[in-house]
Amino acid sequence: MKPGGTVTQPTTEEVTEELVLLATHLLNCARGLFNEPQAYGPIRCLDAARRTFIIAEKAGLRDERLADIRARLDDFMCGPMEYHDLSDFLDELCAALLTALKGSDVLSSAGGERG
Amino acid sequence: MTLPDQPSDFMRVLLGRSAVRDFTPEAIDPEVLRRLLDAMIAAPSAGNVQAWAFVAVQDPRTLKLLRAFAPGIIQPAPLIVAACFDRSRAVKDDGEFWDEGLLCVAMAVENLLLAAHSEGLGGCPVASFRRDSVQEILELPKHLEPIILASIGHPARPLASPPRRDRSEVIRHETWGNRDAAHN
Ligand SMILES: Cc1cc2nc3c(=O)[nH]c(=O)nc-3n(C[C@H](O)[C@H](O)[C@H](O)COP(=O)(O)O)c2cc1C
Repeated sequence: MKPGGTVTQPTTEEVTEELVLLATHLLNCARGLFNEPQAYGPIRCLDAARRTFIIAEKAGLRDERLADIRARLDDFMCGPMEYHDLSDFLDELCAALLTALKGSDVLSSAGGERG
Repeated sequence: MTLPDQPSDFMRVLLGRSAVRDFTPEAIDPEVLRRLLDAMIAAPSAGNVQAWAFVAVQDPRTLKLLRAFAPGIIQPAPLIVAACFDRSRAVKDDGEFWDEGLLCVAMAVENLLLAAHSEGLGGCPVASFRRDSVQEILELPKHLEPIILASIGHPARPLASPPRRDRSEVIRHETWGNRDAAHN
């Protein structure tokens, strides 16, 4: 935020840089999973979702419910490493995400997804 | 000798440290950095061989690259110290992969993390990274193997420690067969 309270929009170059770094991170995660404990797999995916939300927010995403989900992901990734039931936590997050997305205008009604 | 009934400042530092994975963008003061690095290389080493080498990275571009190749670094940090094992100074003569020197690198990193904590900073040791990529990014010669990346900075959230296994489960006195809890 700037002192006046206005949000600075990142340039296309800045967002592109973040996306390229995210893609690099994902490839490294993919390779690392062959050597790392299996339990790290879901955590890496969860963290990648978190990093993606951060980029989306920098690019202008303003959605309170999605921001709440991202904050929960932050707390999980940056907080103490405790062995609570990750599948329950992920179930909860996926359900919250579906509710958020159903009511969100982040999804437009135009066109189809393109691969 | 009478023992103080309050923990010393040093004990408070030891017991108060926890991994910090989220940092403010604030840079590290150069004088503080010098103290951290001095504390790091004050660690003990097998045969005092000091088979270690460190690269302290603060350049934003290199920091971004390192994090992209280190899935274990969760949030951007203003400082990453790459702690390397210097295989040319290996303690053992047989050239096996495992060497006491690896333990010494870990001790140096623990000193660094405790020093950071004592300065009001925080850090996290990270072993999840792609070794050959880090080797290339930091232009490390072949005999310097990166073992741990320590991300360090000003904590962006309050410190919180994960639970420890109960001391009676992991510590026994005199012999492992002695389950006498008197000491615990
Ligand atoms: C050798 C080693 C490697 C570690 N690697 C990572 C890592 O890649 N990513 C991470 O977030 N934490 C890493 N950690 C930090 C541990 O998760 C952390 O120390 C542990 O959960 C205990 O928490 P505490 O340090 O707050 O007491 C590592 C710790 C050690 C000792």
